[in-house]
Amino acid sequence: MADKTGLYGSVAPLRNVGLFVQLVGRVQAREHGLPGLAAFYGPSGFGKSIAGSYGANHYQAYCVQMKSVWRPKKLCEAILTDLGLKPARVLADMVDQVAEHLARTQRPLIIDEADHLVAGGMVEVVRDIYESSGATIVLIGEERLPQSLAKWERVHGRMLEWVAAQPAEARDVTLLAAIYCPGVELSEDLKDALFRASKGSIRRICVNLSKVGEFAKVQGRASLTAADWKGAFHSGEAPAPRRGLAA
Amino acid sequence: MSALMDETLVDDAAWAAARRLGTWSYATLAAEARMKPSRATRLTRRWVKARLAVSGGLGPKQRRLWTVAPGAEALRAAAPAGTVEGNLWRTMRTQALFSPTDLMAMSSTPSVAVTLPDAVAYCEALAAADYLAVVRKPVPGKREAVYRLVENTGPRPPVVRRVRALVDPNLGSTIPLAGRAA
Repeated sequence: MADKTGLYGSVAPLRNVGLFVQLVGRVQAREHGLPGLAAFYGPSGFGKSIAGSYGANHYQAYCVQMKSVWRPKKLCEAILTDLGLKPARVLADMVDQVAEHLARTQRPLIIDEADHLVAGGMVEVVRDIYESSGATIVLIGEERLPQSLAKWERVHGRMLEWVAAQPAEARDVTLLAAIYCPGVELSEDLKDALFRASKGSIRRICVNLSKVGEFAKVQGRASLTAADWKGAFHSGEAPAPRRGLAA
Repeated sequence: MSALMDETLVDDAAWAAARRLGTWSYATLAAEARMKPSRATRLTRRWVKARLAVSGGLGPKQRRLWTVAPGAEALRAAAPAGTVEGNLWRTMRTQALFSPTDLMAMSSTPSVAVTLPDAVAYCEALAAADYLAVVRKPVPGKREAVYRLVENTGPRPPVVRRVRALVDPNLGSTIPLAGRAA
């Protein structure tokens, strides 16, 4: 296939990736005086982190992935490491370092797993960085992120946009099949079965398409239908209790 | 300026300085961005070539002036600088587990085209250097490897380089010649 856009083999055409890239673009190009914080939220498996990774590459953005045990100092150290700067000793100085660098470079900062900001009391640190830099900061989190942030009025009021990640759609299977099953033609009934088993999760679609691709290679098949497929799709469901061993 | 800044960051910092100035000469940009005039000159010429900056006439002492071109911000936001290794490395740092296909899919953007052979070669080089742990071994022609990043050394991507060296088979020694007179 001719690749005039450079996007063949990329997740760019996926709906959530497009939503995220457009969100960052809108915040970057906002009018003077409008807030520069934004959030992209949705349930696990919807491809938010995939969108975040792609968005970070698209905008050459700084990107940190929060952990549940992080506290303000560790958050600033992680951001500074991603900025390529040696962290200062004092937290207040670190916030200034981050803000100064973001203001200079005008690159967006993406914070994934931002739910941990709320749990760890780090929301005000992010607000400080934003207030000092005026940079674009995009938070990625779970479905309840907007509700969680509502407690911090000063942050909630500085959000330019809240964009909800959408469940995968049938066309995403076709788009991802070109990446994970190259050279294998999948019938509509197989794609439909895979889509239903994946329950709207981009991650499961990728895993299941990889399985189908491996199956096709092992079988030496250039095309597959639902009748040909002998494996089981990964659906994310917990396995049933084994007969005779359940209490 | 921090020694850790790479060329892209220097470019970003200088561009931010240029925007603050609005109209600049090589000397005023150098002063504002705290860099050598020769570097300010080089960057300004690069922006003119990329249609990000246009001539602003002549200033005091007949110095050439430059201004931000109309639409430059959108142009710059749409196509920021990036490299194949830079995008692959950034993706590795944000994903817990990944295959070369995953990396290609998340690293290929309108401005940086990453192919599967690029991703495979980079993973193999980093795995050989113990930067990546092999979580699932590949089966040639059937399934690809799955990796985990175990040496996250920082934001700048490690790159594969061919090193000029003197190899002495008598001693079994290899002496890198980098920095020595050819």
